Amino acid sequence: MNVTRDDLKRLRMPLASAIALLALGAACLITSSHYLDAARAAQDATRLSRVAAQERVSRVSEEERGIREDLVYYEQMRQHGIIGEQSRLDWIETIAKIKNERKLFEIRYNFEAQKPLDYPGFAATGPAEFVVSRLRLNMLLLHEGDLLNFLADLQANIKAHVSVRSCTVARIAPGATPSSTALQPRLRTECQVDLISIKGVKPA
Amino acid sequence: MPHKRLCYLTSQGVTAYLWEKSELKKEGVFEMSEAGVAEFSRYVAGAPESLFYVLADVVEEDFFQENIPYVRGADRRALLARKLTQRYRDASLALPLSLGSETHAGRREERVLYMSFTNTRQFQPWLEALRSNRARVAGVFSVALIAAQMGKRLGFRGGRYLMVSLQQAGLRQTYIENGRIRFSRLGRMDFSDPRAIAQDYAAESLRIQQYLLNSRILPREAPALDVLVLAPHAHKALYDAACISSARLQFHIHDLDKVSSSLGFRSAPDGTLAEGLFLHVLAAYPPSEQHADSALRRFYHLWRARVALLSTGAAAFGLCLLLSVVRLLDIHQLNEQTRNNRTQEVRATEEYARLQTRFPKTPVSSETLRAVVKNYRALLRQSVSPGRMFVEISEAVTALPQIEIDRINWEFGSGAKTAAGREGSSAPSAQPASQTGVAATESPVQTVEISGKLVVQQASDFRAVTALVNQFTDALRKQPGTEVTRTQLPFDINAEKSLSGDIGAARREEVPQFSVVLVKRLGT
Repeated sequence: MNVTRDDLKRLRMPLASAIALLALGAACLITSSHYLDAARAAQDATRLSRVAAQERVSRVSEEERGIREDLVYYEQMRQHGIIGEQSRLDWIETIAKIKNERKLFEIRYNFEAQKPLDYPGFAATGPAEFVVSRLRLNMLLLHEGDLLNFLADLQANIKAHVSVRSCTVARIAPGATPSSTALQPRLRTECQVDLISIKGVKPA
Repeated sequence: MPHKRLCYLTSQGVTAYLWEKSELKKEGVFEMSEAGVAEFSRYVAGAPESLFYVLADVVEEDFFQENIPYVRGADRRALLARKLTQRYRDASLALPLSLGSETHAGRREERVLYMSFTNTRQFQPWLEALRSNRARVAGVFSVALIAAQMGKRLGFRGGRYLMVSLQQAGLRQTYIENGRIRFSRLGRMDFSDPRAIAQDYAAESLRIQQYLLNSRILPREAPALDVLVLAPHAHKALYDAACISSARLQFHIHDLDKVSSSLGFRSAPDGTLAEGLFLHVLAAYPPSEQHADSALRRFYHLWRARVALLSTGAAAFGLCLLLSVVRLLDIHQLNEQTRNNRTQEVRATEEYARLQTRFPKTPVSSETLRAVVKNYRALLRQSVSPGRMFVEISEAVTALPQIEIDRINWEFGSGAKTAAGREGSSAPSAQPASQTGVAATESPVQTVEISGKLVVQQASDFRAVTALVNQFTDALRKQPGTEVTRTQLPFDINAEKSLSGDIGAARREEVPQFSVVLVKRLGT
């Protein structure tokens, strides 16, 4: 059978209807696919949330133990004065006090500007921020024990966590310092010490 | 589904029936005259949505069997068209019917039966009325075609048999072989005497059997020919008496009403003979072959195309809808699971909140506490005092009074700032690389550069100087985790460089200097 233009005209409506039905069917499929994907995504999300919540419950004892351990460390930090704003006046007074008590020679110090701590392996802690002030020390020593005692006293008394980054101890050549007194320094040291504290800690 | 209207065409005129639920309803009788044709045209115009089936029951029919070369596709169509035009003056109602293939002299041939109404003029007014009214003509069928179809429905699928029936047009005898029509003829009949009709059944059957033998359509060695007699219910006894089987003919007399019932035919108007059954078979089980050309069937084809388009669209829509429903069910199940998850999550959260009340009070939120303490512990791990290394160096140098240390440069961290630190960072680890990995290379190390002088008798005693420095480095290496990464002697004993000294000269004041670089990893 040869198809004429007139035949095609007569088939226009059924063809349009068939296309419309096909389009409608495709729209149904696409819409249902969309909602199915959304339902799958929601189901996956809620499943993960549920599992997380259930795991949190199952780990509650472990979490409680962890909090108790954390509190021990927190108390340790609080006692060492690590928590809170840095007080450079306190630090200077502490250094002076150590010098006097240990009867040390001259101590020169320099505090660098405070900046966020960038040691490797540190994670963000939200509002509480670890900050560091680098302290550069120039000291004259009778012997190396003075340096070690000074650093130990600094760690024990200063209101910050003390992290010694470098120390150079060099012998002073005989006659390099005036010999007005009987006791003369024999060593010169240069140290870099990081004084670390936590700021922005707000009560729960 | 549109109505099916059946037109029983004879040389006297056309009788129109409506076929509905296996019942025939007579709608009109149109005589072969201008008025009859005009009336028929009006009838057709009044049923534009109906499908029209024309059943022709006329005397002027031709059946001719011929073998043609076995070809297929367009070649076969062209060959058959040529054959039909060669045989018939007007081939518009001619039909080639394949009877199968056979091999002659090694050549495969197709047996074809040409069927045609030889007097097409008597059809023209009626077909023109259908064509001009754009009627959906499903086809023009001969009673012979329907007889073969009916025989199949009655269970006569193979073998040879003769079907004899009585219609308004006359006595129809149709010879069928293996379910295919081979020959048919219509004879005039006097309807006034049923007994004479019954006797004519037997006589005409014998006559046509002889004709089939003579024309070699029926083989001579064939057994007795089965004759299927469709006898009117009221006169079946007459047929039983008249049609006596013989060596040439084996009569099977069937009650027309019973045959009709077995084929699902419910009722026909009064006075309808066997044509009612043929019309019913035509409407209920239309054969695929028919006589009309495409031009006459144009609106039927268009209707079929419309139906096909709409059916395809509807089927596709239905399939999509079905898939969508399946997905909706999936969505429903997923939503149920989502609701369950939420419920269980809420329960777990409430349980957690209840258990959380047992937790100790924290000065800051637990998340902040955890993060701060984690970092603090990392800080503690990365904090170290130079004291231990100073003690180790002191122990090493105590045993060697010839060594005087001038300078100790201690550094801690992963980054290298001094020459000693750089050497410490690049120093090979004591652990295998597979165990240390990236973390080990990132872990901070203590690096110490020791500079000093050697108090020896003769500075040019290279062996003594080297031995002294080696003793010192060996003592340092004994400390756990300590590596000596570089030793700088006061001279270079490398064979690739020049080396000079004096032997036997007076003692000079020169004091040999040396330096050693140590590395100690954290935690060792």
